[in-house]
Amino acid sequence: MADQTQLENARPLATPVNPLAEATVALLTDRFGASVRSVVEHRGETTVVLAPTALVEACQALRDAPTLRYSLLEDITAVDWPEREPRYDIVYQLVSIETRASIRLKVQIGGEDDPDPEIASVMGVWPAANWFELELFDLFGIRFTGRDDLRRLLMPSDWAGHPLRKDYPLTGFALPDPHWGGQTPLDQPLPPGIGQLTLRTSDGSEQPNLNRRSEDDR
Amino acid sequence: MQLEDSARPTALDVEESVRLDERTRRDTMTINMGPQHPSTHGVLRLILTLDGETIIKAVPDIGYLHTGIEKTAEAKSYFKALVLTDRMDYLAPLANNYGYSLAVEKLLGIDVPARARVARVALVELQRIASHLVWLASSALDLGAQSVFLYCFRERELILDIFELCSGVRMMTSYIMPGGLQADLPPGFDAKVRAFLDLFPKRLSEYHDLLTNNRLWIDRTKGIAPISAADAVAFGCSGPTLRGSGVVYDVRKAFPYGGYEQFDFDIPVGSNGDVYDRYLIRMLEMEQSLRIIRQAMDALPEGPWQVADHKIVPPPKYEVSSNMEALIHHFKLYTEGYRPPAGEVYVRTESPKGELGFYMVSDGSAKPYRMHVRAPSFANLQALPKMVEGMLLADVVAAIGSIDIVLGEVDR
Repeated sequence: MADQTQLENARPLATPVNPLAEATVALLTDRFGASVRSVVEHRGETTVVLAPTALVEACQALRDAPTLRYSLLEDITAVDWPEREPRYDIVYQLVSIETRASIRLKVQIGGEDDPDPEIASVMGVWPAANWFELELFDLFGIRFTGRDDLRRLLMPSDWAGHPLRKDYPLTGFALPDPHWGGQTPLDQPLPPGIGQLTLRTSDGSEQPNLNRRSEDDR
Repeated sequence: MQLEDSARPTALDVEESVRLDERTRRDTMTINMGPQHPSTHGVLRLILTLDGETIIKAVPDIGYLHTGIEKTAEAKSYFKALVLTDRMDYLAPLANNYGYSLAVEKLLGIDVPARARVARVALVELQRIASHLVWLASSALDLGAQSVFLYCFRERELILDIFELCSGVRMMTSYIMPGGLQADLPPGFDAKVRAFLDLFPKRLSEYHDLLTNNRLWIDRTKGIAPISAADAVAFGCSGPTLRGSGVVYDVRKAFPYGGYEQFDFDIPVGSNGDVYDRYLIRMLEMEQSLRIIRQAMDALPEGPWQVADHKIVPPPKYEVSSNMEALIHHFKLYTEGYRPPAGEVYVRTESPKGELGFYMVSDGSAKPYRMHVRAPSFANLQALPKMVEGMLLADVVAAIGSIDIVLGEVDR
């Protein structure tokens, strides 16, 4: 396809040889040797596939390396390959504000015998990971260890299933049971209490009205 | 007040806010701000724990505008997923189109003709001014400056007129597409843009007169909701939110794309990281955008505005009804689309809100296997609790305005 598109007005993009990406790969292979599973170069971008166990240490090393200083975590996302083992790619996009280096880290987790895969959180390295990890927990069902506040970020807290998994249907009657991710269908009455409470304790019991103070509070 | 347990850096959820409230019940109150609050710029809900009027904890609750754009894109061809991107940052749709188009072009390994490249820069910079005008209008309105709102929307309408001239649509234009532009720049585009370039500096100085040295404005913004450079980087901020804290990082300069390296412009950087600095940076950015647009209009070459490959861009309509090959291309493109070679790319662009990243994975089929959007507002909003802790309730409004969020992009 790429060759067919190189007609008169289209010229192929140059692939820059990035010395900083090279230095990053050298640092990772040096420090983590066998944990570096592969290095892929595509369209001038470098992807390093790491063993899941080495992730946090590698991130720490990249952030603190004086010649690289990957200070900014741009993005964390995941890709679901249901036919493949391990099933999920967790993708970390790093960039350095000081040195203009950029790299993509990838770990591969999950599989048939591991439906709710776990990976260590990198929040200790970059606090920016917070919402990106919550989003992945919500939409892919990836569990991040080392943090105790995993919750759904975008979907309602009582939603069933993880919508960005490939086996979650886009629409139609094949939606997982219960329909609409556990939400009450529109033609059925709401359970008592729903819609009247804004705050509940973690065990589900009702909170007293916090905004109205009783007499003995004064 | 004793709050030693509550100084944890992790985001609190509702239950934790309630527990905190229980512990210090005589002093604090937990209230909801939003999701229907006019100054939360959409459907952002904040759960605020207050001691009197002082914020102890702020917990953003997002997802009210989650539309599953990333999931939907997996079911569309590359050609059709373009229109989804307009709906994310609906105040800067061309900036989204641009990021998406660059990502798809990188997957395909093609480059666009010079006319498209320069026109895109001019359009995106116009879009940046339009987006900043909405930010200025709404954040000034939030703080009580009503006339600024009317003036800004008056000028924004001039830019939307230009977009309408190009594409027929004011907002959801999808005018920048993979492979170039949807259509050639129309006659009258040059005159309209130049008229705007002549008018806008005068109007911009009027806004400066209204706000920059205004005692009320300074009182409401200087020293409010500050964030240090180290914190801004750690929380993944980008765009004016990051540069307000003094970090020199603009994707247009750090990782030039789409020909930005050929333009001469400066990156305004603040020092205090407060609302006022973020305000000034966007005001100065509009001036820089004017510079870029002027250079782009002068350098705009004649020639094709799309790649010549009609497997990627639709053939002209008159050819479809007279040329067999064009008809086949037309049919193939609209029914199936094109198939980029398998691979993955991450393309970062500087949208008006900050760093907009498109992570696209192709498995060699005609639909994106995965499209992930790194939305600048999403990352910037993470820093809000850090900014408003210890501030007054009224300052939360100023802080939300100053990071310029669009919930369509946060929730996607």
